[in-house]
Amino acid sequence: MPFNSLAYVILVIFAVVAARYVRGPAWVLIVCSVIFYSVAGMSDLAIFLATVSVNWFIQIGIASPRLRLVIAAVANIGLIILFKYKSLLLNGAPETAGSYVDTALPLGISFYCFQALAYHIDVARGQIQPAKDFKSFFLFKAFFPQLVAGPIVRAHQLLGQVQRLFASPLRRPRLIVIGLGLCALGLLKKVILADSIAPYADMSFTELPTSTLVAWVGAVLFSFQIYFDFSGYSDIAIGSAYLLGIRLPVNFRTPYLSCGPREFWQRWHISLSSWIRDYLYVPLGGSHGNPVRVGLVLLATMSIAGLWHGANFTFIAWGAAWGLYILLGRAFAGSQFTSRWQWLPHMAVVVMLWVLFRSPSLDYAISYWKVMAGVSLNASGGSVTDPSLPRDDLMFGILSLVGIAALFAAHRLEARLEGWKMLMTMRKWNCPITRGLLVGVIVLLVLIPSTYGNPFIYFRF
Amino acid sequence: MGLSINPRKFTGYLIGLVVALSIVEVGLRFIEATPLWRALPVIEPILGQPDYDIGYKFTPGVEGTWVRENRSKIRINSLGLRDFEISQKKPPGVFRVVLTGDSMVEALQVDQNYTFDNIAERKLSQDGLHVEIANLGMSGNGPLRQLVRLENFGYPLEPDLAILYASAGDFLTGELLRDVQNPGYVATSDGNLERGYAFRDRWQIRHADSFLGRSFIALLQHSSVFRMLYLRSRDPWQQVLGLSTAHPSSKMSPDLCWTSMIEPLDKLWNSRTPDVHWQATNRFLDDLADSTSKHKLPVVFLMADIPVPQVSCTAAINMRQRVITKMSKAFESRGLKFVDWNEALLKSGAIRDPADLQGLKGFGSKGSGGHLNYRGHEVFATALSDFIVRYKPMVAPVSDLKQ
Repeated sequence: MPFNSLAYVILVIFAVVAARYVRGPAWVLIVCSVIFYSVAGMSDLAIFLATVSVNWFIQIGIASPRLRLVIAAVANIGLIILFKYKSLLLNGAPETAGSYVDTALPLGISFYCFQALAYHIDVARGQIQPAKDFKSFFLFKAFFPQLVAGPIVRAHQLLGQVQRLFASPLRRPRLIVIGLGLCALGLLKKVILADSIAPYADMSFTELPTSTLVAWVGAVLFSFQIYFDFSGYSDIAIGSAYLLGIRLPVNFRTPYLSCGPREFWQRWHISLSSWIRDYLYVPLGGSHGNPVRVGLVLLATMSIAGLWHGANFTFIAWGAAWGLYILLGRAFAGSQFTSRWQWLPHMAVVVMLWVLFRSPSLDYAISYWKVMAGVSLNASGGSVTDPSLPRDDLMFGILSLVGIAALFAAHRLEARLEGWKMLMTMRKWNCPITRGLLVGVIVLLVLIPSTYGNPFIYFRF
Repeated sequence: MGLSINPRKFTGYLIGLVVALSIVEVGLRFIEATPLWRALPVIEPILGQPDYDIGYKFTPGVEGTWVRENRSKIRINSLGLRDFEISQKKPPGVFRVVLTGDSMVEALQVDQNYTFDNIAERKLSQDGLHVEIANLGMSGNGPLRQLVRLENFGYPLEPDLAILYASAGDFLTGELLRDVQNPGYVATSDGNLERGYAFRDRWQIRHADSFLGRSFIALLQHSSVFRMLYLRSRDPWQQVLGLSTAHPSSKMSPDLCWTSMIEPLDKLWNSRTPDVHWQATNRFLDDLADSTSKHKLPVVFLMADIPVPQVSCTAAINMRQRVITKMSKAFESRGLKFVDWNEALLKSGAIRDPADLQGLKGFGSKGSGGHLNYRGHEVFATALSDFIVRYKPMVAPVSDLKQ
């Protein structure tokens, strides 16, 4: 069920009202979660229910912590490999060649398998108490706002909150406008920004751009499309969970305001980057010791982070390139890599790396980079272009610069919205008028007809 | 625990809702008034309104942004046509053509400047010919609706030539026999076909001129939010809920000979089956000939979408030729000029290969299909202007046509 749909709004309203007025709010959330996921299809639902059950039986059925961990890792990673990488491993090529999103995957499989794995590791490390019963474990896994595209919530962040819901009534959020505001902000990012950028970004990656300027504009647009799409999704997830009395961790902190690779990953898809750090990078020895080993571990873990996105060499290369960039950042700039003047070259690298992520193949990405660098141009491109658009490069350049500046300004404004001051303002405005206003905006935003029909990008990763 | 309504809170929520409606209305209008309309969400205009005589007509002066397939600014002129402003009375020295058709002619996907009728006008003007082509196109208008539109909007323009553009498949869809939205042929007690007007019983038509009806139409045409809610209410419920998923269109094995499309045409025009469609087709041709001959108006019928098979498909080519011969005979015997439009496009030289016809439709990265793209309009304009240049001497002395 897409977050930008009227069905989702109705489901959340139903869950909020029902959970408040019935005795077992947790059961309401379980029912809503099953309804939410069943929209993806019965086979996807069956795979999900089987995964949760298998993970539960691994926990209660195997006494040895070490063996339990090994079996959990084999089961969860095996499931991801089975659905996501089988074709890549067997045929050496992704099943959906030419597309950067695999539409045949069970919805959210990468997210819920990683979440299950983290749970077993945390239990084995003794960092958390295992779930008391199956129903708590089930809701921890199935809680619908975070089910299909994260944030990848750890057990210490969610399990306790879920278990409380079985014991006591739903806690009424004190600042409803925060939940509603986050949902409205997320929808604004998705419906107004990401979906509007999408056709223009897609055009650049369907046919090679005709000039260096067009190539850069296309790459920047995709950078913002994926950010607004994914962070919009996360905002809606966090906002709707908040309305249901559950706090989910922040997943994005205005990443395009970062000035270096390390800072970027502290702001982008935080739940995945911290997962990779805690369960791969640090255990493999990436945090200390021999610099060569640290470098290799970094490259390996970033490649895995790339591979997590899909069975395509472009994703592996994207992750590896990020690893290399982080290493270079450490080697040449050290702590100086966060100074403000480095923002522009850093953003240029980020944008160039998104080209790798978005391209249908490595060859296409290299050709695209060549156009970006002005080494080669696609002279035959632009077969069906709009003659009413500006023809000369100067006008196109000015318009593009204005548009991109507006996107960065929106990003900057977002940073202000997340601040403490905004929270205080929301507190002041937490009244029925504001709530009615936000509900109205949310309903109207989901009713705006989608002319492009873009699902959330991360729904299928 | 029971639900209780606090009047103060309820009023607060209501005020908030009204503010939300106002904010979204202002936002959508702002987008439409600035260059942001090219990218950000806008709500499509509702270009017309119910009409007692013909079922539906454009509302003069309505303007807005079309968003499906490709974005463009559109405006309905004061005569109720999707065209630039023209005077109802034909200016002296002008050869006036009225062009009727469906959404291909209406061409909402491109700006007014780039529709093929306007490009053709410019091409002819460059050749020193003062030809004015009035665009009477409207989405969904099959042959009979075009004739009705010609009678209501075309004849008052005092045209020198009428060009009707319709898809060959329109004679097979049963559109000629449906009178629930526009006039259509219905069987009389003696077995003949006459124009029927069942649409006049529709609620929308009956109340179109009442205060409520006029207010509703005014709201639709002037409020983006109201229009959005209205348009959404007409969508299937799965789509309104956001639950329908866009599946990629199933890829059928390519029928390079187009046999599956040509065969039904062959059945209609050669075997005269299905009989009901054949009767309706004949009735329409008689109707068209009668109506235009009363106004002494020469007519050209551009028959579109008769696929051109590859050279190797001998049987299909022969079948196609048979269809064209029969069609041509049926039209010419009534004094109506018939043009095989795909053939005309190929003859114009703007495209060389029949396979290129597919590339004339569809926009952006979504691939081919749909309506004419910018190249499609250029190619259509070349063929249309070529045709008019060749055809004009037959209806008027060349000396009269020069500016």
